[in-house]
Amino acid sequence: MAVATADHISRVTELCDEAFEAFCTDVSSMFGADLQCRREHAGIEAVTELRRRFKKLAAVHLVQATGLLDGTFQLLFDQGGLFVLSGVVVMLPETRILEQVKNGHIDDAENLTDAAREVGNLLVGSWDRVFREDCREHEHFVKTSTYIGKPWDHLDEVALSADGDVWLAVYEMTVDSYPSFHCAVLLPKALLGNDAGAGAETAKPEAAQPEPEPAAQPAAKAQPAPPVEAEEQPADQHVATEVEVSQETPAQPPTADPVEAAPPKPQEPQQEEEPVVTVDEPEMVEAPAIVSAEKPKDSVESKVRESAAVRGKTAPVESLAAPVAPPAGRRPSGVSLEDAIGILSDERAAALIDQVFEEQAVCPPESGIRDLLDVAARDIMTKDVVWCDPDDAVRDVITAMQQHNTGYVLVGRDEVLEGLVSNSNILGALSPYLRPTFAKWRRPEDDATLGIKIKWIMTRPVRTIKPDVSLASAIENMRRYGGRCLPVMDKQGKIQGLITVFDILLRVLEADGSSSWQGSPPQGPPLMI
Amino acid sequence: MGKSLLIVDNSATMRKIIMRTVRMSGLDFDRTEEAGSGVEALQKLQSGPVDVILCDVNMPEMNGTELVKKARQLPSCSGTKIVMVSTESAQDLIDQVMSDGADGYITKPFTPEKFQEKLTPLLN
Repeated sequence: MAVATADHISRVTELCDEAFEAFCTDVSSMFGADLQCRREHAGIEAVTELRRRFKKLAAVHLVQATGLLDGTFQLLFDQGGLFVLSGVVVMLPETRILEQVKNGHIDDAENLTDAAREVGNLLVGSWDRVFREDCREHEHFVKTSTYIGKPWDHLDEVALSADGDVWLAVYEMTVDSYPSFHCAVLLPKALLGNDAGAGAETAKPEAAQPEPEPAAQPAAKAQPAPPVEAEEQPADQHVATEVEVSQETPAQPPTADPVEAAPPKPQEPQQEEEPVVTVDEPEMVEAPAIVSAEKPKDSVESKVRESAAVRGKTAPVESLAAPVAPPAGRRPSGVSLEDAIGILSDERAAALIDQVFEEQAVCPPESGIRDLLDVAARDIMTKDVVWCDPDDAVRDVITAMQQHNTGYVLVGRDEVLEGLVSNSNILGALSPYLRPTFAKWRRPEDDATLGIKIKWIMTRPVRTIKPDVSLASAIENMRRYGGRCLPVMDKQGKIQGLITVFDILLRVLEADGSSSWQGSPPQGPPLMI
Repeated sequence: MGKSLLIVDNSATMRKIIMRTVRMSGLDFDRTEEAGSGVEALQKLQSGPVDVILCDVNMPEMNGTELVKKARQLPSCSGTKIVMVSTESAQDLIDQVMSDGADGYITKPFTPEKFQEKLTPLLN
């Protein structure tokens, strides 16, 4: 065991600083993002106090250390870190990430388990390298498990004791323009020696930093979303634990093919507050939430669904199999508004628009929908338009769609409109064997479809509308000619924006007044390629 | 004739990250396949050779070092370059997998430049 002296603590602190900074540098290089971090606090803290710092979901990576640090310690990301880093790793749309940072639930986190685990692997990899390079006494760091949920309700799952103290270093981390979040390292006092408290005093930053109150965010930073720690999760927040197979852990029973392997043994029904413990297996989480609709029935997604059913909830993926139109502006119980809209096919959305249009004659004047139909296109259109070049490959446009969370991309050069490409165009051109479900049958010619030039699959000519055209006329145009997206072009031939069926549906729901709406439905292609 | 690549990792996310990074590195593979375990990788290798394997070390069922040893016994893998990709950076482990038959070792986190640096000499 290391002897805890002020010098020792100071040295560990420096190594932790370097390790988190190395992680930022590594991930920045890997994913083309801009990660920064700075230490806000270091010192001894009671485990019971940690609940105040990290109120919402957290990802806790347990690390088995030998050498300078000898034992198990924890690396932690708060809810913001969990969703931002996992989302960046799997290239989720920015709007989706922001929504999850703010309102993410354990189900959202479960869908990102694999990504969260990989973030932990990368973090431990950076830590191991820094300690190896800068500390002769260091031997080994191995990440043994990842816990996602509310760790303070299940301390045994994260190898902490309620009556213990830890040496804690808290860092504020930023990724691009996402809201800043906190990450931390928790070193049980035993790792530092019995006198760690004295040494810890010297480890505090030279410039006195205010204690990072969970709700506090740096005033200088423009934050597109409220502080991630500002709100308490509902009391019935579920907890999931994922135990990985460490190097020393006996391997799982061999299966010929993980995809075809028998589904994991169903969990016993558990009480509401019991964590869901799942043993990490190959293909346990195939891909992030955006592809969950394509999972085979025996995948882990099914297990998550079963688990959700046990908890008396309707899992969002259940609704994907059979989209149901929300009658009269209401959605089915248990299906979120986002899910209900996000899953609509173009055809289904068009049918809904037809229904709205046909029912306008019977709308009571006070409903707001009649007024909505007179609103000009310029007041409804989406102004953030994504363009691509006619010679761009399908793969590039998929990336653009996912990054901008859009189902439609305009095709042209110098903003001269030549065509329009939609999700449907993309999915029609791609081999179905590119979907994760069929990964084992994937052939080179399937990958080749990603290289198809957009100009060969785009829709043209493109029907456009003027900015002052009413919504009623736009809907009539869509109904008559079958389009689901209308670019709005001014008299000079310049594209001002787009109107899609989704925009119209959202405005109808807003006008109806019976539903509130936050965030944006996922509209990019449901593929992670 | 174009080169082929097999990515072996039990994490689907990491396979996608590796594939994306290889693509960003500018390396040109005409065919890219994935395997979620050492067993699945061996099945693929038995059905036909690949030019390069990028393989995780820590995997359940069959870890990367076992896969290297078994792959080296396959006639179809005599010319295959095997590069391990892992968060493990202990030199003794690296030495071990290299002596078992690996041709290279890339530590996570990695960059496109690192892939280019390690794989280009092997491809030539």
